[in-house]
Amino acid sequence: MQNRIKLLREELGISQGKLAELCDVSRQTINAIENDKYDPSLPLAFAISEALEVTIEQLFQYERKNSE
Amino acid sequence: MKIKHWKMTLTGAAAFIVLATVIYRTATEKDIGFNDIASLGAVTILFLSALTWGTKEDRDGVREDEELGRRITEQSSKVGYFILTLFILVAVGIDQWVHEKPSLLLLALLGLSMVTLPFIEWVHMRKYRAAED
Repeated sequence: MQNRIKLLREELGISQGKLAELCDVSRQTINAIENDKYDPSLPLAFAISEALEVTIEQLFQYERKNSE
Repeated sequence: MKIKHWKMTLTGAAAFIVLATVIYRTATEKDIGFNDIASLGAVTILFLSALTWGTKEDRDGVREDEELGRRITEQSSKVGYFILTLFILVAVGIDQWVHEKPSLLLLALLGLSMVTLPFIEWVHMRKYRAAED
């Protein structure tokens, strides 16, 4: 799953720490998601999209794995 | 001083005192019992916990109760389980080497440790199994 959190966060001019505070998680969690170390749960994904004032679709791009 | 540093200092000092006591008792050839080992284990758990987790007040690291914290706990539990099984396997090997016949209790423990994870997975899977129409 690709995400545009860093890009949108920087456009709004807010730090990882501020976004973390808005979503009630640690800065390390936001950093891990931005660097694709893990995909957040749906409630956290919605919290991030709300904080960044975008929809989930604008925030995350799902890449289907092509097994053929 | 941050809460995390207070916790680390207190639990670290407690762990050091208990460890020093156990070493002293060993050096003076006094018996080490269940209480010594349990105390050492308990203070070590507290120290490592203080070392690992941040607090909401100070915002100084991943919190145990947040999403990433729960994920870390889950992954560590599984890795820890396999390492524990490996330790028991090593203990069985050493026991067999020393006594030429492994202890039945250790063998039973090894067997139990090997089936625990798949059994718990089976129990959990049943919770999610949909009722058939």
